[in-house]
Amino acid sequence: MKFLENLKLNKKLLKEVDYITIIVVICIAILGCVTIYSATYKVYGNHYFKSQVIFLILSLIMVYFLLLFDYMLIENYAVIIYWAGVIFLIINHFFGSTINGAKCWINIGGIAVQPSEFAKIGMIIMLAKKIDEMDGKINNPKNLLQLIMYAAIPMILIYRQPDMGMTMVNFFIVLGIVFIVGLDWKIITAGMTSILLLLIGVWNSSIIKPYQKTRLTSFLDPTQNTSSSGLQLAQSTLTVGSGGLIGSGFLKGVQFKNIPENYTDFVFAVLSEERGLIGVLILLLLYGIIIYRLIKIAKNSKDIFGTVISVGLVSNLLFSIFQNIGMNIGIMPITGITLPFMSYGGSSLLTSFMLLGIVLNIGMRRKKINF
Amino acid sequence: MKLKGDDEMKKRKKFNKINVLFISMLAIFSIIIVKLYYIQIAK
Repeated sequence: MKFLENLKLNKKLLKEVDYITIIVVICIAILGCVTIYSATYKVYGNHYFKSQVIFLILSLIMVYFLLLFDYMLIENYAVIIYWAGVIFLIINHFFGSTINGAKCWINIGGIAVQPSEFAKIGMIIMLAKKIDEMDGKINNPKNLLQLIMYAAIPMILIYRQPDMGMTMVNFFIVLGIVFIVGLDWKIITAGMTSILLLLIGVWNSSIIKPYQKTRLTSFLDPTQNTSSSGLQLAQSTLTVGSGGLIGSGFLKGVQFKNIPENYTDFVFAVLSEERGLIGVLILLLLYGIIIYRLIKIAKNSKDIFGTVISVGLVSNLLFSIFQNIGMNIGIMPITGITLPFMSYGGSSLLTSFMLLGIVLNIGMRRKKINF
Repeated sequence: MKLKGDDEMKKRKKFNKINVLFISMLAIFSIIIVKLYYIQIAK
């Protein structure tokens, strides 16, 4: 009985839950499920749709569990969560499956899991804990070095897979966090210049494989690029364009069938074709509402730990949305980043909801004392 | 664990850059909408 009592949320706390964010996120996730069905039903029946719905239900249960306890408890387990993520990445390095030239997935009981998604959460929590312990003083060289080390370990392991997209997501999360916490402009400029020089060096060496270079450059002129990524980009832009103002209608899209991975990385193109510009604007509005409310939670958090985690989620969402929609409409290179809460993928959906659950918890307990 | 209280103002000052995230969102969405308008309507 006591166990069941622990599974109930305090009534006063229940009033503090940000229901608008939850409702909006569920709307996006349902839109995602419907679009995935539309993209796959003719070839795979309802297999992908069913799988995504199951993961959505699991994710919502996970959010509920994450709301039950005070988020400050997470800070106590930050070290374990972080290193578990790193160990998961190391295990993936040895036992992961190689798909499309990258070892990003590990098979656990017949389910393909993406360790980098879980390591990302660990990294955000660890950075939040460390910045909280430093009282936000990250311009101290010793503190800064410590943060760089904690950010670099998972990023290097993810880069080694090689998963350029996820490495970039992590990089922008870290950049967002250190910028908001107040890292000196001089340090940011010096750091960015060093990274730029390093990238130029890496680009001209053999570290970046030819297929990665093609993926990164084909978006500049997809029509002139006959590689698979160039064709993928050209097809995607064509599909998005065919939607027009109101789209072709549910289950009436035809153009998206030419895009591989149309239910994961290119789910936005399917939505654009079937719902048109109006449908896409509604989706952007929904994302805008979530981001606005998460920024509000970051501002009103009672401690630095809460603020940093919220900023981490906002940076993650902002970069993922820009990168994914950008590659669908031809303004960003293809990097295999999913559209948060929309694209098919259990790991991506579950980890996005886990981070959201933690941030909702932060928003719910923003007041110092809850009786 | 640093709580809001005496140093609330200090923290607010420290994190006043949070609004930059909102401005970034507006900039990102504007770029996307302009490009979408170009390929879905104008082209």
